[in-house]
Amino acid sequence: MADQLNKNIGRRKFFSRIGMGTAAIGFFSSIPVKLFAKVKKEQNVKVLIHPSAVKRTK
Amino acid sequence: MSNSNSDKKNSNIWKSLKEYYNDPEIFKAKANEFNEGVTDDFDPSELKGLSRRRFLAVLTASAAVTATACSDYREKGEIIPYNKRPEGLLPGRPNYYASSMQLGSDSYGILIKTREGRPIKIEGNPDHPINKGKINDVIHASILNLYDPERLSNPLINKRKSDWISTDEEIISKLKTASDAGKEIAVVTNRVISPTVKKVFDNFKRTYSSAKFYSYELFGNENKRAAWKKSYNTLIMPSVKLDKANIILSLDSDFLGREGNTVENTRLFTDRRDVMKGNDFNRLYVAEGALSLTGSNADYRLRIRPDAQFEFVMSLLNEIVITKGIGNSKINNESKTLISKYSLNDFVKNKGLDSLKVNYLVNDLIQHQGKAIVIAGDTLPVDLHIAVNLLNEILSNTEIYDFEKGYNLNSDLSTEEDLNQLTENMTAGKIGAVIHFDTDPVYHLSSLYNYASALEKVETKITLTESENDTSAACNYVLPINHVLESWGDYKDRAGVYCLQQPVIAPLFDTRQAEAVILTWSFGSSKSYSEEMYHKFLMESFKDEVSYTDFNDAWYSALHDGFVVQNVSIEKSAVFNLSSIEGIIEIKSNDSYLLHLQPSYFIGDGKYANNGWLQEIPHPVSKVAWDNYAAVSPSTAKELNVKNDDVIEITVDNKSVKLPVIVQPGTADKLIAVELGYGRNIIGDAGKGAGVNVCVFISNNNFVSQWITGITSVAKIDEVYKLASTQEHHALDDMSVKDFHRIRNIIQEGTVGEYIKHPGFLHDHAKHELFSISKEVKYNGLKWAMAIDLNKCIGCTACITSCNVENNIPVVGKDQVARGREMQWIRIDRYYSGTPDEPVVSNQPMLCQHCDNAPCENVCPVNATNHSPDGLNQMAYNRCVGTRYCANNCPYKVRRFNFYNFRDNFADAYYQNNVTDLVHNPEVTVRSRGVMEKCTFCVQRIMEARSEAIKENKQLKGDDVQTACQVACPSNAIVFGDSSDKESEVSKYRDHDLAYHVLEELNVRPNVTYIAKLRNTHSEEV
Repeated sequence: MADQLNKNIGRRKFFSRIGMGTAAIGFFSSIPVKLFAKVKKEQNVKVLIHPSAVKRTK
Repeated sequence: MSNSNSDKKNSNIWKSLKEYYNDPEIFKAKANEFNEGVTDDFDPSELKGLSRRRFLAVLTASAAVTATACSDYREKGEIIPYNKRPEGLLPGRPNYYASSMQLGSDSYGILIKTREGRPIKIEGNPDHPINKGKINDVIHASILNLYDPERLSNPLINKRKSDWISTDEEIISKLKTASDAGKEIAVVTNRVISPTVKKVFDNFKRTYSSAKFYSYELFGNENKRAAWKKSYNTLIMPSVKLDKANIILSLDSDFLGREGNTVENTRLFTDRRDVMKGNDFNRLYVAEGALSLTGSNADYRLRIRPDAQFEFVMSLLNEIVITKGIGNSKINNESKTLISKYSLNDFVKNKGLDSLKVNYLVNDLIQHQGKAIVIAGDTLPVDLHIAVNLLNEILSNTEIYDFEKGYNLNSDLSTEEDLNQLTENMTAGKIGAVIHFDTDPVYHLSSLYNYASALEKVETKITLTESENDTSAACNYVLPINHVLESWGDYKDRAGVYCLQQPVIAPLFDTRQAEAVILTWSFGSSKSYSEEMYHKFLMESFKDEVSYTDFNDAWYSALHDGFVVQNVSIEKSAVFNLSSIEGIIEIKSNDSYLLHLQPSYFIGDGKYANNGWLQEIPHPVSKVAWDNYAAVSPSTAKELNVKNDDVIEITVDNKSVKLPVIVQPGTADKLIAVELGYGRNIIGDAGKGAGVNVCVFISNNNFVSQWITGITSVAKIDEVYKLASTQEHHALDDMSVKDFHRIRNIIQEGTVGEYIKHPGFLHDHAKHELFSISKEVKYNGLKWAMAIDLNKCIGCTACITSCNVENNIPVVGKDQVARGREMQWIRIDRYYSGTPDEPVVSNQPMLCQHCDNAPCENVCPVNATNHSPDGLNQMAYNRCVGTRYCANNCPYKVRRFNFYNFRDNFADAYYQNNVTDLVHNPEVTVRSRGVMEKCTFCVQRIMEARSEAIKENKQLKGDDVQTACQVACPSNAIVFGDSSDKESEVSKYRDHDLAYHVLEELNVRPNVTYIAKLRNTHSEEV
């Protein structure tokens, strides 16, 4: 029982961590990460009708 | 159907062997529509305990992750209108282009639909004289290969990215060195049916005199062609007017499924199975070892292993010529001596055949001389084909040969000696360079000619290919080529028809037309290349192939039409060379295990193995998807002590392969049938791990033919491999009623004789009293309905693939198929009757029935599924909350639920990328996770026709709309239209004597009418 009590973090300390965490989230989420993020480059595909194709009605 | 007959015929209808033997597992499975506990209730007590502190920590962490994730997003782009609209393109309106495509040894006329420049659907060219608007599954689904994200997008030198100019220069210098040193340059191709490609090769040969050309096919009708040349020695092999044949005998020939131009064969065959035209049905006898699509449509089926087919033909010849004295004058004494060694009675006795069926066959062949045909399978040996040619000659069946639409035989494959010589020369270092022209011989020929190890000895190894394969992995130069929809081309495989292929989209990647690459090398400089190079070459070649008065008129009208019909004088008969029969080598069957390698229905020689749509279509006979397997008969399974999914090891000489087993009713005993094209080593993510490579068993020394051989040993091993079969998925619930299919008349059949005697026989049974809990709804005006003629439906699955492409149906992968989550909107239900050894097969396409009193609509809590004023049972996807009540309440089990966002879920988001997205039909919503979907009767096509009618200020008519499945059906078994219009075709089907609705006693009033199948047997008990 005594061991368990020793391991307990104080209620105040616990909530202060949550508060700090929330503040940190607020700070980091305000950073425009997308400007620095490396996103896997998608294949850039250009769709062009073939200039010599002869179309028809169905 | 009279009660007594109905009882007799349907008393034992079953969908699988488990069902036949009343396996309790099957009833358990049917009680649980969604597998793997997905319908189980949520039980909080099963959750692990979570402390207050841990809960808050998890909450904080997830909030942090969410907030961080939300601050970043991928650029989705913006939709903006054209500021300079391309000529001839109206946003939102499709354009159509005619073209052609080669598949195996045949070419098909196609019509390509594009939207805003991107091809979204391939259909048959309705004007094409051979395939007449129909194409098979492979061509339908091949559009996905255009948008395969794993297509090669630039040249590779020793696996490293390169550019075209330096690659061309390097290769040209290597080719010159090889040629100057007198070393052979080998060009390996598949069968070449293009006259212009032949000219390209001639050009290449003029520059590099040491060039030699080799062509091969993994399978094809080379034996049939060789036999024709021996028997008749003409350069045109006639096709057969199947619509003129009263009697058809197929000897291991799957002419409706895998052999020849299957859409043409199906159209002609089913033309004589049309109840609207009368009751003059043809009669199909099939003698085969492994149950095929053709065999499953037989009126009479004889289980004969392929090694006994030769004896069967010779015995038939003996019976007809010697015993019955037919065609005596047509053969000489030597041939008579050869034939007289065989006896049909002995054959029937030794093989345990039903003598009644064989007698019917002989009598029919004699009675319908000149109006019958015997067709031998492509995998059977040359000598058997010669014997079949003689049999047709004796029976005057040559009268229904069609020389005018015959096959040009001017595109021979390399002989066994040639290919042996090639690999020997490669090993000996005599080959300076090898060019693989869109072929994969390392995968196909490694066992047959030791190709892979021979290739290692060649210094310059070049592959022209769309995507990586086993051969490209072994080459130092890999050059990406255009997809067929990005390419020019021409084909001349049939007499009197010249087909043109045109590109409809500029190359998506840095790829080139394969022929233009060869031409560049022929001109000896990389600078000679231009994008128009092959286009101009083809135009020049066109001048030689087609007669015209004004070139521009002829060229552009040929491109517009997709083909040119030529008036060529063709010899309309041929004289049988009797000496060909005298030289044949007899094949003696035995009782040991036999292996029959067969082509795949969907993935060709492996070229299409990375196409998810094709891999996911249930096999038309076994209903297995994503794998090949060893099909064995129930008796053989017992002998080997195996059941479905057990693994066996097959050894032929020194080569062994492990394969999972499927116990396939109707297979001949001691025969193991396996499909080729699977188990490629180098393949994209979609086809990875699909099936086993059995090309190792192909050999020129095989006992019967390259594809049919004796097995040295076969034994069960201690392994299990789970195959994904859809056979028992979406089963209509029969827990509460024993002999469900009989009592509830889901499959209704009769015989032609019965129908002639009493056309209304189907409705003789007592009608159910119909109750309704809903109010009668009156439909004023147009009301959509469909009819499916089961006499014409052969179960080919072209409708499924066409629907997949039209309606953006996702690929879900093997794992999800195994859980019963396949998404296809149509399924082909296959029922057996009879015994596991001699099953009679019935196919039934099953799709949303668009019931007037739809039970799915009543239970939807959010009214996401509801009814339109023109009779459609429609879905509002963004209203659906995914309760799945509708699926539970659908008696036909045709609703499909998106358990995941399947584009993201399958193979590590294989289909979620900028390229594959282009395949989507913009008129059909792409569904996401948690949404229910099902057949819409192609509502987008209805809306398009309606908008067209409004524009033209006319009344929309039922015939203005064709659904995707209807367009695809090669036998025209599907009819769609307005049931309110009593003159419409669909109304005529609905009012037909053979018309019935599935589960009509439920009074849900389905709008899909089935026409009962008639079997053209001699008596009702067969």
